Amino acid sequence: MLEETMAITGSKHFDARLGSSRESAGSLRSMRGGRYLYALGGGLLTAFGLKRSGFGGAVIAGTGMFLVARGLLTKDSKRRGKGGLARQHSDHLRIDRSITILKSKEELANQLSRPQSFVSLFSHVRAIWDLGDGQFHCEVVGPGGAIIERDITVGIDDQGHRISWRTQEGEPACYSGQIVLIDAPGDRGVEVHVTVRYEVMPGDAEPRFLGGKARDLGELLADDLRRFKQLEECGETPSTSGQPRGRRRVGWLGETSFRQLSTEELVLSSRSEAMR
Amino acid sequence: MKALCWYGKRDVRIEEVAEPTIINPRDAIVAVSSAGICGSDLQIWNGRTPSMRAGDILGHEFMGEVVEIGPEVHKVQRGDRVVVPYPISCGGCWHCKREEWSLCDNTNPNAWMAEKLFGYSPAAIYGSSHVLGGYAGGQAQYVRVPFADVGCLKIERDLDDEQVLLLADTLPTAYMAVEQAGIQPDDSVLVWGAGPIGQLAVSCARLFEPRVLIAIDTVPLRLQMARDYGGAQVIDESLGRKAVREVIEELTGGRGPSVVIAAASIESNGHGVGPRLEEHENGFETGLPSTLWDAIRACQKGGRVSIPGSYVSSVEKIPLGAAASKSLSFKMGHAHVHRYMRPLLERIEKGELDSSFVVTHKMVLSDAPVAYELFRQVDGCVKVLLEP
Ligand SMILES: [Zn+2]
Ligand SMILES: [Zn+2]
Repeated sequence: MLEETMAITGSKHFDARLGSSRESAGSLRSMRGGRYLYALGGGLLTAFGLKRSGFGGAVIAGTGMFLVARGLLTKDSKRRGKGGLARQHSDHLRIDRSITILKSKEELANQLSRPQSFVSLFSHVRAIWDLGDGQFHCEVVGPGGAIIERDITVGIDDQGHRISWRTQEGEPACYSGQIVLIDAPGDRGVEVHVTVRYEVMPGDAEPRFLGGKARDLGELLADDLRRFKQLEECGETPSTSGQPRGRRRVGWLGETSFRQLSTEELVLSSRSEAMR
Repeated sequence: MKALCWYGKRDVRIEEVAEPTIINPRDAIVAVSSAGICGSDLQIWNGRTPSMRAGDILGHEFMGEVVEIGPEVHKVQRGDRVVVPYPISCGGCWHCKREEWSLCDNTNPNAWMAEKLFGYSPAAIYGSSHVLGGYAGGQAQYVRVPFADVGCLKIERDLDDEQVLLLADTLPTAYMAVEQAGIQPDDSVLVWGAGPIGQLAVSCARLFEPRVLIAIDTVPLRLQMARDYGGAQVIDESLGRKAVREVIEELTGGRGPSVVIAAASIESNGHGVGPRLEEHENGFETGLPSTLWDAIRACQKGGRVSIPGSYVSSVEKIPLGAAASKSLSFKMGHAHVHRYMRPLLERIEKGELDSSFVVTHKMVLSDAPVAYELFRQVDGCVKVLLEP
């Protein structure tokens, strides 16, 4: 399981900027899902076939064994394809997202200078406490949606254009990240590049699911950056929640208020209502 | 309040719903005095727009009186009579600063959906699909207007609703289609489709004084309007493709028009020039947009094609071969309405421009379901105004 994660995140390192954890999570899921399905289905068929006697039973058991073998082989070939590459890299789930904001670097650096602001900036950061000396204790949502608590060290460069954090030496599963501010071309403002990395441990749930709304960490981070941009550029987060809408229950499938009006009805209404 | 809610293909109902409230500090609430039914509303009504949800309130072309403002609204006040542009724009992003209002980065709460469909999200639009924000629309008694400082155009002179309502969408849409075609006095301009946008495209093109101005449609009333109000030479498309071609050649010295404005998009109504599209199972835009096809074929070599229509999903069978072989240029896009509202209002006030002639019907909001039918089926219906 860990090797698969490695294969995917490893390959994603090369197109890091817009690297999509959604894609990686998706392919991860399909690899695992397919393999399990083959193995499970094959196993059941084999067991069922072996319980039966005669030619029919043998055929069923044979098919089952073929499926089990196929499941295993599929897994192996995928590993062979990417494994070598992955092993040279990390065993981390890495998510990169960037956005361009029409503000100066100084204004954005000012907003980001307090790590406590990460709670409102990042939805995967649930709480953060200042321990002094650049040390913080934080609660973050990890792969699989589990809340993990870590002590982190935060470093900010002199101008505040690069902010990085990582779990302290000796902590078991590493969580780290960075925000880098770069001038965008022309008059477009500042590019905000964010990277978040988790060490994925064997046995961790798939990174795709964060429970509830089933959004993955990459989508979450993209939403976070969009919200940050909205607040910086227009002072509020556009929303439609709480606006009015029709509440009438939709009827049976195909039920509609549509009624073809007769020519007389239409001519009548167009005559009575027409202005010219 | 009463509002027109969408429930499915050709299923719109007037319902009693809650009144809108201020959600964000830059919101205002407008009591609607008039709302138009637009071609793209018809597309939604026809179930051709993806990501609609049962109960959505329709309408993106509306005006009325400001009755409430949020704490961060400073340029409009209670009691102001305003026309509201259909794209919702924040005023603070790079595109808004460049007056590319319909490309606003920030106003679509469902930007992630639009990114899946378009790659990047344009500005949100009232009363349209959830891909474009899912904001409640203005075919209702009240509507919430986000970023009211950025959006609302105050009407201070004594002008009727039908003289200014179309500043919310139809008139700027037509004007932008004309402007971005870069019309010069030597140009020959062909407006294909004489619905509301086509009519106003003819009127706006007239302001640029092209040598030749032609309108094509099948509906006699529309042709008469384009001739009487826009001063265009008109061609009845029901003469057939070959005859139409011959008349166009005759009017353009055999060269074809140098500018074609394809003003009947996929959502246009069933009568007049419009799409003969094969409806796909999913009901979204597909098939052959015949107006676009005709427009591309008719256009002069090296000419410009301007497309004001609003397309949401994909359209197949665009004759790219003809376009490429003749080195045509294309311009399209949702109108940057805010950019054009004030200068166009000034022209209306001076009497240089009139958009009210396209309004053929005024109906009460409660009759909106009938109004949609009327718009769809009756030749004499060019533009309907709903009054709550
Ligand atoms: Zn419209
Ligand atoms: Zn904007």
